[in-house]
Amino acid sequence: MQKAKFLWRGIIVVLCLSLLMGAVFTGCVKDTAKESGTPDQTGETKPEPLDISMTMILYPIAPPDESNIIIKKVEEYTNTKLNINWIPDAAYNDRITTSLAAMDLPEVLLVRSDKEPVILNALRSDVFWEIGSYIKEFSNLENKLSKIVFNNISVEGKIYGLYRTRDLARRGLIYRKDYADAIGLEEPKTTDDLYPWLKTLAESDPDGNKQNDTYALEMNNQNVQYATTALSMWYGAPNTWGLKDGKVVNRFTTAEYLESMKVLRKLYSENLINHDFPVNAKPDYLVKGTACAVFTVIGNAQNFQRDVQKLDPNATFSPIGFLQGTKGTFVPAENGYNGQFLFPKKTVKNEEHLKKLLGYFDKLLDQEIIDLFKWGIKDLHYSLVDGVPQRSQEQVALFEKDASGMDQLAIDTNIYPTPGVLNPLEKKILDQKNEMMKHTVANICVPYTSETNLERGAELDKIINDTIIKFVIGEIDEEGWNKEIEGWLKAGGEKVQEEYTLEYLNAHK
Amino acid sequence: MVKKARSEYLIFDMINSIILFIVAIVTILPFVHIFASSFATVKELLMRKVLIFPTQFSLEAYEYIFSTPTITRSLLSTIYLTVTGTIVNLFFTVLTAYPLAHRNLPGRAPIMKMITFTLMFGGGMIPTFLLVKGLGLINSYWALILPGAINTFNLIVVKNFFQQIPVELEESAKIDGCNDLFILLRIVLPLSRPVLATFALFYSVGHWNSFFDAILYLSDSKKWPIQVLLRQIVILSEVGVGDPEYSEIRYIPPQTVSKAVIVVATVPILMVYPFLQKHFAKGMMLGSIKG
Repeated sequence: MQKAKFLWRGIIVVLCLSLLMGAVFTGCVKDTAKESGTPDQTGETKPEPLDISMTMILYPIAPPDESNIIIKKVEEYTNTKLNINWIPDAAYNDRITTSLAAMDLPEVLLVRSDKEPVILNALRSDVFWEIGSYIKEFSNLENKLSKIVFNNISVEGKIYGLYRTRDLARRGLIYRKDYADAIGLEEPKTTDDLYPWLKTLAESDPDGNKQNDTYALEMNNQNVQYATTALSMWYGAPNTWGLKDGKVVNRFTTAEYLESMKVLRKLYSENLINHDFPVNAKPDYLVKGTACAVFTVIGNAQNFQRDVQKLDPNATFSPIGFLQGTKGTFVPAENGYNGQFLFPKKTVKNEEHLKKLLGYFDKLLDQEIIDLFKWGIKDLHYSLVDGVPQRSQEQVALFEKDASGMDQLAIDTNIYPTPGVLNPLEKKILDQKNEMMKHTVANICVPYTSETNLERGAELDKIINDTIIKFVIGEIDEEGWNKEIEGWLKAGGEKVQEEYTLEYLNAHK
Repeated sequence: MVKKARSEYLIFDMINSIILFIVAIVTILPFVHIFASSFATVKELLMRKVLIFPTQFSLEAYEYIFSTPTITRSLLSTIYLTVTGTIVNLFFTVLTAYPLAHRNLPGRAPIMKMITFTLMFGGGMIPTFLLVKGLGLINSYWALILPGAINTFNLIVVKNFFQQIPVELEESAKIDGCNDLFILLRIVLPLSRPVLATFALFYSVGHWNSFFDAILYLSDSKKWPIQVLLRQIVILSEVGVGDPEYSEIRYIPPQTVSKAVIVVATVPILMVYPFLQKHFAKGMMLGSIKG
């Protein structure tokens, strides 16, 4: 008995030791394998596929395996071998920061929060290639990408990366179309129509329980300021930063902004906005059918309709992209991009290598590849009917399985893909977006940096968010609002405005 | 008199039981809710705030998560990581603590000082990353095991426990002809079962929950432990409509799936508790020294 026990312990000790040795060996083996695995880029001939290592944001549950058909197709078309390091969305920024600090960089680094101090400092201290002067050598990059957005991603006038396109105009209101149809309510046209329209919609008792318990508008406490951007701009406020008497000012200080908040205040006082919004980050009134509208990205009308129809098959949604204000029609222009691809000098040693990488991204903008990311592979994920891509139910499922999250690799999946057959809602969203593009107003300070804003921007934004909530729920009145503006200016807002004004004037001399 | 005292006790017991019962319910309900939700249909979960028993039993969520080998693979990875990691942890912790428990160890004071120093000051994330990278451990499970092979706090507790074991026991073993290693294996460790069980649990729960290290050091997603996937799924299914990411993510897994993954990722480690618990309370030293 004793002996057996002793033997058992001996085995454990041996086991531990062998595991340890294993560790040491795997460490060594991995290392050598890695070194020999990355061939030297200089001695490459043309047909040899180009090895590209890159980081990528992972949205689906798990990354695709190597045999993924979409990636295979991209590699085949661009003659490359993609070595992708998928990093979960939740940890992406931290992981990139660590990589940067440790200078453990791939050849292509996808950076999402490109206006964060860490990234800006790296850009200024010459860690990445400046690619502005090379762009004109590549026809797709030169012609298919927008100068406005390149201006937005520039730092001190220099372009360091290739951006991933997103819609320039997309923020608006979406509402329950079936509720409005039930009482024959027309869409509002002007900002004056908005309040009565929302009130009528909510008080029509859409859930039919004879009680006045439906909210007109669903709101949450997550970044109220940006959630209400569209609303405030319909009333004529600038897109975060605007010009007033030759100076850059924050919308928070403008009368138009206050005007738009008064509407929310009125709705709230009449029980037309969910009363728990200051503490609720994720309300579900709209999903449950007890709210009628929400300010969000109008493309979400599609997602909402799909989700809510699982509970209520009759539910339909519709977007409102803009309303005519007293001073004109304004729609917020987004930055037009989501993250940019940067090329570290440490891993991309020479111009020739850089140009090869840019060539890869240039090819990503060929129609074939744009459609590949959007539609998948012909006759597998979609079929062409009269030149228009169409999908059957099974093809939708297959595309979801094969291509979910893969569009993160793409430069563009929004602007240039071949349009398919649109359902009425999709068509309406697209029409609205096109219409909205005519009225967009840009945030004039996107290309500029303010040191004070980098340092205290979060704090300053919090003052604005808190003030909005306090004002909407009626804790402070107009006088209190003005006091908060004073406080904001003193807390650094004034300095930020000065710094931005200086940068703006410098750029517009 | 006696009777009155008895009824007082009875009332006290009753109130006590009621309060403890409420505490127990409050503790257990979230588990039950998660467990029940994982077997519910999406529709029911959305419509009801608290779910204790699904009216419509559904295995959809489990079918979904086991439809690909991803979850199973990462669960196996996690088990491997936890078992190996805990063995390594205990091995090194015991081997370091045991000598330090002896007052006559040469250089004991400076060694202890150095160890305590690391309790207060650490290198931080980036230097640790550089070290791990320099050691060539990137993309290996050892990157998650070796840097934290000894937890300083645990080491000190184990050392103190060893110190409490009567010296006489070791002396008598020595007289019987045992050397130090055999004293550790045959006398000290059997007496230390409670402490070993406790720290085995601490270490294994730590490994089971490893998330950020895994993302930092494991670039091969096939090696990701379950927590990485769990978080990915939970966060994805929580994405609300107001969030800008909503349009970025084309497919959002239903809430029941995230509940099912929570169950799959939590139940195995919960099962370890009952097996280790019996070791916790035992007074091992009873009757070991006479006179």
